[in-house]
Amino acid sequence: MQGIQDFERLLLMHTDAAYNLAYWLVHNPDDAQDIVQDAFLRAFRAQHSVIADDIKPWLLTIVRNVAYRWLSVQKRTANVISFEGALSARDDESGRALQVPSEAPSPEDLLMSHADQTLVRNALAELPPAVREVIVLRELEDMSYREIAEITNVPIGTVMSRLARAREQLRARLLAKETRNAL
Amino acid sequence: MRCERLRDRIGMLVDGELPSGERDAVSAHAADCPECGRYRDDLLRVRRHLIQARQVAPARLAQRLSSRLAVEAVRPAFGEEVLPTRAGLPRSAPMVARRLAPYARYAAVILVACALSVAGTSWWAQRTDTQGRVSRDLLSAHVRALIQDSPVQVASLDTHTVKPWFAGRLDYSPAVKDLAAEGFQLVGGRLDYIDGRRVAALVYRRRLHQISVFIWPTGNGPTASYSARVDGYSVLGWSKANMTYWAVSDVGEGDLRELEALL
Repeated sequence: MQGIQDFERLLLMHTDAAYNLAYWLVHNPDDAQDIVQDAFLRAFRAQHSVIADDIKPWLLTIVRNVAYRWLSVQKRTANVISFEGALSARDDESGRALQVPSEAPSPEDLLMSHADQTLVRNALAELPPAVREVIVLRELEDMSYREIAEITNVPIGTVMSRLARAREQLRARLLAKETRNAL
Repeated sequence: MRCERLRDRIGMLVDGELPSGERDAVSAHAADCPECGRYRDDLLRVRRHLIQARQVAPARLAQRLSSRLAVEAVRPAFGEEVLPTRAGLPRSAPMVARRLAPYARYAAVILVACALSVAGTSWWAQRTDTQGRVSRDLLSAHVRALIQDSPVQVASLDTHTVKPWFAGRLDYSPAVKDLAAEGFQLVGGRLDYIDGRRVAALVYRRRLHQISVFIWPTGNGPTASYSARVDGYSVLGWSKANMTYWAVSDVGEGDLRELEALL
């Protein structure tokens, strides 16, 4: 039974990655935490089945499976589609409505401002789930095409086309707004 | 128009996924062609934006996970999970299957051999598995007792307070000995639950270490003595006078052997 603590430490190194993926799949901080816990327990029990040195893709596969199972069990598929609605409702609740700065902000402000963050999050939320998970894995978790293909269980070609689709949409949403603000 | 077709390549360049042979040519083109250069910059800008959307796990989640995993580590092993393996089946499975068809006969022979050996192993494993499961239960019970304020339900004044306490709580009467003279001080006793039954647990102190001794009538215990080290703890099991004894502690096996001889 040696190495239990090593494996535990190995898992905990990827807590942020697991949480981030779960969050962007179910878009709810509490549920994301439950999913991560469930996924970590499954990973822990199945530690003997890890072949690779880098467990991150394997762990994220489990997180994704748990998240999708959770989504189907909760029958909240409708919520996931109207992701944007959930997002703005949440912002309203906390009184943090989308704020547009009155004065023209500097480029740094644009990158850091709350409005900008909301914009990015909204833009991500608007993507279809299958496209969203691919861009999240690529840009936020730095996974390779091959790893994304394994995690999401689709061919690499599909990964690439979904990535291109996500980028096209995000480029239009994010950069159009950026230039408009800068003017 | 050529540039439109290059967009995939620029995406791959930005992702570091372009084969080394193409890398120089595509980056040179992006440097020369304003449109492709802008496209590349756009992708990098989108990336900078997106990074802000990365969610960081709340601090309490990390705490929750590590304490949950610590509990899991002393739990008996769970049933096998159906989980993805890292190496997925190739997408072009039918073609691969056709190519491999001639080897099917060999594969079948190997498969039968494997199945036989698996059956044999699992028959063997099942025998040892029971003991593995019991030692897990024992270790959990021992560690749980250490975590709690008091490891015993009845404290020992002498053996005559502990032994009667078990009467009526169990359908058998465990032998309770005070071994203070031999260096094993009886702390007390409690009830525990091992391998699906109520059992007597005695707690002895050896120097600064605590030893849990679990006692129940023989039936599903070892007839020959059994010893193991699990997570740094010594586990020793033996049978005597139709009773099964299990001792668990962080002392060495030698100390447990000594206790075995005394009980």
